[in-house]
Amino acid sequence: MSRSTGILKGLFEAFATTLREMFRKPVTIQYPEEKKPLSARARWRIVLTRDPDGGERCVACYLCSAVCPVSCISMQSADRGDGRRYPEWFRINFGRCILCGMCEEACPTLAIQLTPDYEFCKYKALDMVYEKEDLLIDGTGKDPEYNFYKHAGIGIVNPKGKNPDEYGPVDIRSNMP
Amino acid sequence: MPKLIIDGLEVEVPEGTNVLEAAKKLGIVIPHFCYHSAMGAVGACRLCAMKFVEGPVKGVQVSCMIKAQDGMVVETADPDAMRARRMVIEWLMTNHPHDCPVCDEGGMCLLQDYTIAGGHGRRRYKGKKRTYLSQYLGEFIEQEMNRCIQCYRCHRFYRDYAGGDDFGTKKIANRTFFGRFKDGWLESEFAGNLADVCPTGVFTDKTCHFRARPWELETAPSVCPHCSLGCNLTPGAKLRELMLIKARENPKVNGWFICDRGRFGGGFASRGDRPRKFIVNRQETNRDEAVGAAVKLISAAIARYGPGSVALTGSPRTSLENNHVLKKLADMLKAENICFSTEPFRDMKERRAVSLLNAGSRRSLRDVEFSDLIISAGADPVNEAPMLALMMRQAARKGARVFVIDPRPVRLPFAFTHIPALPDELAEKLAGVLNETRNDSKNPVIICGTDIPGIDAIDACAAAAGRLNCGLFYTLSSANSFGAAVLAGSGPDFGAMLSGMEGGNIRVLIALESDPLGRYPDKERAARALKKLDSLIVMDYLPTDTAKAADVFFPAAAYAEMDGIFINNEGRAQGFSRAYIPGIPVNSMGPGRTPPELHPPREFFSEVPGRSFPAWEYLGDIARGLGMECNNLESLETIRATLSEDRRFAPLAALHPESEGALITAGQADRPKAQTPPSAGGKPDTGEGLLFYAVELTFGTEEISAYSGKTRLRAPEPYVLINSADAAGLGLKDGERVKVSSGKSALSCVLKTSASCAKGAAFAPRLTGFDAAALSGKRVNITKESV
Amino acid sequence: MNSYIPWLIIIIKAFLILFVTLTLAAYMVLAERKLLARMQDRYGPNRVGPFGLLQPLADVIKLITKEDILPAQADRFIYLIAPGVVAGTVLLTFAVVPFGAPVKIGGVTVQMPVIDLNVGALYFLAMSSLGVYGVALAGWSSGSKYSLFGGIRGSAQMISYELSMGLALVPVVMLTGSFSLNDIVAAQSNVPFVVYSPLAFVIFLVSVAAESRRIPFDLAEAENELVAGYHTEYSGMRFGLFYIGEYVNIIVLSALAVTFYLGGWHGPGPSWLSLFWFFLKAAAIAFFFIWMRATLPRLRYDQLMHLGWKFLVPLSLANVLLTGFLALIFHWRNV
Repeated sequence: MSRSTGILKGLFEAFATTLREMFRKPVTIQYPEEKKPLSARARWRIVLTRDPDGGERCVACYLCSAVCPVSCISMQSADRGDGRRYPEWFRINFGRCILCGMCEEACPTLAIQLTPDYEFCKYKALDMVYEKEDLLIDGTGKDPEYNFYKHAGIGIVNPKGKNPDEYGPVDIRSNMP
Repeated sequence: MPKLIIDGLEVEVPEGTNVLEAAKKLGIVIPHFCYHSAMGAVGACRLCAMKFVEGPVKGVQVSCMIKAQDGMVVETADPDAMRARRMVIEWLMTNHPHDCPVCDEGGMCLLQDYTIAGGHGRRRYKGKKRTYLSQYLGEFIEQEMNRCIQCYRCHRFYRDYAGGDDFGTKKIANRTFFGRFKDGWLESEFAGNLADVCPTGVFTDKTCHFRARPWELETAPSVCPHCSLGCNLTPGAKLRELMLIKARENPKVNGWFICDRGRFGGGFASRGDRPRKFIVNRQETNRDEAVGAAVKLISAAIARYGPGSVALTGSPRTSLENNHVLKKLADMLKAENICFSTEPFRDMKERRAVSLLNAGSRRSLRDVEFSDLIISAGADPVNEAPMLALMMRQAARKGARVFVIDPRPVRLPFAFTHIPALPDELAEKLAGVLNETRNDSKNPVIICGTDIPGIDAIDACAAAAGRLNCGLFYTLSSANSFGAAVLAGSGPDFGAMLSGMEGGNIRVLIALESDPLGRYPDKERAARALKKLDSLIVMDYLPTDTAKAADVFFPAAAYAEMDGIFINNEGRAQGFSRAYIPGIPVNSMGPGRTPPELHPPREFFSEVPGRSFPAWEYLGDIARGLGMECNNLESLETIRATLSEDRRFAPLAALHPESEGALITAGQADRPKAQTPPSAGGKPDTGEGLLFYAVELTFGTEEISAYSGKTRLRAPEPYVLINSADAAGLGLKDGERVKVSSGKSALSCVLKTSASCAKGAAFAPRLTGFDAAALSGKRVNITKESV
Repeated sequence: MNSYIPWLIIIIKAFLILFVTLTLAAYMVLAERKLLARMQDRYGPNRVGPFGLLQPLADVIKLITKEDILPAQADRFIYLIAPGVVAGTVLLTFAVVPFGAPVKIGGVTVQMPVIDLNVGALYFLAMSSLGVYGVALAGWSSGSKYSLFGGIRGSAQMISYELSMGLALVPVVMLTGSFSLNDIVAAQSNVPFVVYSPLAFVIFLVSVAAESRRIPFDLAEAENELVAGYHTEYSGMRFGLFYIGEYVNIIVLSALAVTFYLGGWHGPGPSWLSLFWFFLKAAAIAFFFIWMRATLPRLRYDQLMHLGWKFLVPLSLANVLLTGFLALIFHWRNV
C-alpha cells in the first residue's frame, strides 16, 4: 500500500468512525436524575461520632488537623471540667477539604469518620465551613464498640487502675511491695 | 584530656566528661531520658547504651555512666547496642498508659520520639499495667504519674538543683512514685521547670492544660520581661493567645531554666481587658486619627507654651528601641522633660548602679554559679530576681560561702549566713564580712539590690568590689532598667516632672508603657498633678490606671509581639523576636452563631482584629505628623542603626536574637549626682515607730506579671512583716489583723513575725490593691485593728 | 419614488441577513457542541431549555455580563477593535452571497444577495484577507506571548491558504466568465461546477477550513500549546465577537462553497424552494466541517505549511491548467 493510499484510507476510516459513533447511545450518566452506585468504602463528608456511652469521642488531640494536607481542620481543645479533653469548637472547611481521608486514618479515638454523603454543595463559601454542631452525630458510626478511655490508662471513664488491663493503683503510703 | 574514638571519629574531651557528652560533641546524639547536662547522670533509664569495643571498659554499657578515658573505642550503632536500646524502650513502655492523644506533652515528648525512633510499634507484653493516683500540685503544674518512666529527673531537679524539699521520691523499684506528701502547691519558685525537664508527660504546664499542641505554637527566641535578669525563653502563642512559655538555653544568663514568674507570667498578654483600641477622648477611633489627635495636642501645647510644656516618660519594661525613639522624639521637640521611670527614687539608684558597673567587675548571672564567695547586700534574690537564687544555690552546692546582709528574713533554697541589718547599716556590715572572708576566696561576687538599699550602700558595694577585686552584680527592677538608665543618664527624674505639672509648666505628658498613676509611690500627688495636664497620651498593653485616664491611647505590642532589645542588669543586651501578631485572640472573639456555641466568628477578616503595633511605630508617626525629619525611625533596622551610632550602644551592631547577647557599658560620664533621695532608702526619718519598706515578692508585685491571673494565684494576702521581739514589744501576735499607719495614710493587713527580721523595720509587699509603696521609707505605727 | 426603493431593499436585506446569520451562528455553536458530543458518545448541552436549545442564549447572557478585561500591557485601541475586525469582515462577506432565486415583490425584482457586485468573488477574497488583520492585531496588541504566537501563526497560515483558495476559484471564474456571484450561480443552473472541477472543490474546502482556523488547522488557537492563542487575553463579549466571527465564518464559507461549486440555490421544485435547497447544501458543508473537527487531530505547524505551499498551491495551479485545457477541448461555455 502506497503512502498516499494509506493516508486516504486513514482519513476515510477516521471519518467513518466518528460518523458511526454519532448514532450510538451516549454513555453519559445524567447525574442528578441517574446516580451511580457508590462503592462500599466511598468516603465523603466528615462526621464526628460518639462512643458507645454517648460521650464525644473526639479528644481534640489535633492529629487530624496536623495530618490534613490542606489544613482544613481547626479546633480548640479544652478540659470539660472532669479531666476529659474535648474540642471546645471544631471546624472543618469543606470548601478546602479534598476528602483524602487522612484525618480518619490519623484519628486515635475513631471519632472522625468519612461518610458516603457526597451531595453537600453550597452556594456560599462560608456555608461550607462546618462547625462541631454540624459535624457531631449521635451514633458510633464504624467500630460501634470502641471507647478510647477504656484503653488509655488515665482514668476519666473508668477510675484509675480499673481498666481490664490494669493493676489497682499503687499505695504510696505503704512500703509493702 | 582523654582521647577516644566514637564511631571511627576521634574526639578529645575534658577529664571527667562522660561518653554520652563526648558523642554529643561529635554530633552523634544517642537517645537518653535521665541524663541532663545541668543535673548529671544517674543511669536510671538505661537508654543511652553503646558498645565499648576496646579500652578499659568492654561490652554494652550505658554511656552516661562511663567517664571518657584514653584508648576507648565506642560503637553507637552496633547491633548489640541498638538491640539493647530497643529493648529498653519496649520495657519503659510496658506500663505506659498509651494516652498520647490526651497528653499535653504529645508532640514534644522524648518518650514518643524515642519509641518511634527505636522502632517499637507493637506491644508484646500481655500483662497488666501498674497505675498510680496522681496528685494536685497547684495551678502551675499538672501531674499524671501513670506516664512516668522513673528517670528521676524531677527529683534531681527539684531537690538537688532547685533545693525544694516538699517533693521527692517515694517507694521503690517498679512502684517508685514522685510527688509530695499530700496534695498542694509545689512550694519552689522553680517548680515550673519540672514541665521542661520531664521527658514525658508526667509534669505538664497546667496554665496551658489541654490548650495547644507544640506544632501549632508560633514561637520565637525571646527574653523574659518579668525581672532584670533577662532569662532567655521561648514564648509560644496560638491563635493570637500567648499560651506556653518554655525556657531557652543561654549559657551566659539563665543556663537551662527559668523561674515560675517568667514561665507563668504571660497571662497579661491575653487578658480580656487588655486595651486594644485606639482611643481619643474616651471614643474609639483608628490609628491615623489617634496619631492626628496626638499631633494636634502636642503641637498646640508647643505653640502656646513652648517645648518645655511637653514631658515624656519612657519605661524600664519596654524595649530599648521604644525608649530610644521616645528620646529621639524628645530631642526633635527640644523637650527636656524626659525620664524613663515613674519611680524616681528607685530610678536614681538604678542609674547610679548602672553607671558603676564596669567591664572588670561586672558578673553575668551564670558567673555567680561559679563564684566561691557570695555576699548579698540589700537584695532578696528569690523575690527580686528569682533565678539569681537558683544560681546562688549552684554556687553553694559547689562549696561557695554565701552571706546575705539584709533586714528582711531572706529565704534561699540552701544554707547561708543571714546578717540582719537595716539599710543604712548595709555598707558597714558588708565591709565587716569582706574583711573576714575576702582573703580565702578566689572568685568572690558582691550582689547588691537597688530596692531597699540607699545610694550609699550601692556606692559602697561598687567601691568594695573595685578595691578588693570582687565581682559586682546589681539587681534592678525591670527587664530593661539598664537600658532605661543609660538613656536617662543624668537627665531629670519623674519627681521633677511632677513638680512641673503641678506648677503648670508641663501641659502634655506622653507616657510610653509607663504608669505614673499606678507606680509613683505617692499616688495622690501623681493623680493631682496629672489632673492638671491638658492632655495625657499613653501607649501601653496593660490596663493600667494611667491607660484608663488617657486622653489619647495607643494599644502597644508586648514583648512577644514585637522585635526588640532588653538590656539586663549586667548590661547584656539581648534581642527578642516577634512570636505572633498581636490582636484579639481568636478564642475570645465570641460566638459566631447565636448561643451557646463557642466557636469563633464565622466571618472572614482581611486584617487582624484589634491589632496592636510596637510603640515605636506610633512615636514615629507622631514625629512625622509634627513635620519632623525622621526617616531613620521608619524601621527597626534604621532605629537600631541610629542607636548604635551612640558609642555606648555600639556593641548592638553585632547583636543576634539567639546569641549570648552583647555587653553594654554605661560609662561614668552619665552618672547622676550622688544626691540622696528625699526618702526611701536614704537616711531614714527620725522619730518614733518602725521603719517601713515596701518590698518585692516573687509573685504578685512585679508590674507586668501582676496583670497575669495565674501568677496572682500565688500572691499572698497583704501582710506586714516585723521582728518577733518588736511584735512582742507592741503587744501583737503573728496572724493578727493590724493597722499600719503613718500620718494620714494607713494600711490594713495581717501581721507576720520573724525572728530573723532586722529589729526596728517593717516590710510589706507592693501587691496590687495594697498601697505599700505610699508608706515606703516612712516611720510607721502598727496597732491592732479594732473590729 | 423609485430612486430610494433599491436602497430600502438593500437595507432591509442587510438587517435580515445580519439577524439571521447571527442567530444561525449561535445555533451553529449549539449544533457543533451537540454533534461533537454525539460523535464522542456524549449528550452535549441538554440542561438549558428542551434539548439545550436555549444554551446559546445562556452563553450570550454570560458573555455579555462578564467583565471585559483590558490587560495592563495591552495596546489599548488596537486591542479593543481587533475582535470587531474579525467579526465585521466575516459578516460583510455575506453581502454578496446569493442564497435564493430572485423574487418579484410588487413588480420589483429583488435579487437575493444584499448587493450583486460584479467583482463578488474578488470581494470575498479581499474580505477574507482583511480578516487576517483581526487575528494578527489581536495577537500583537494583547501584550502576551501566547497571543503573539497565535497571531503570528494565524496570519502566516491565512496568507498561505489564501493563495490556494484563490487559485481554486480560478476554474469557477473561467467557467463562468464573470466575478459576479449571481452569474456564477446562474452558470450552474444545470450542472454544478463540482462536476467540471471536483479537484478545485476539494482544494477550496481544505483551504477554507484553514482560512477559518478550524481543526485540524487551529494552530492560531492551539489551546494545548498557546492557552487560547490570539484571544488568550480576551474576555466577555469581546471574546464573544471572536467566537461569533468563527461561526459566522463557517456559515459564510459553507454558503460560498455551495455558491461556487454546488449550484448555489438551484434545485428541483418551484423557485421558492431555492432557499431550502441553498440552506440544505450549506448545512451539509457545515456538517462536514464539524465532522472534520470531531475526526482529525491538529496538524503540526511544519505540516501545515508543507500542505499549503508544497501540495495545495501546485495542485491548484495544475488544476487551473487542467480545467482550462478541458474547457478548451470540450467547449465548456465562456472559455
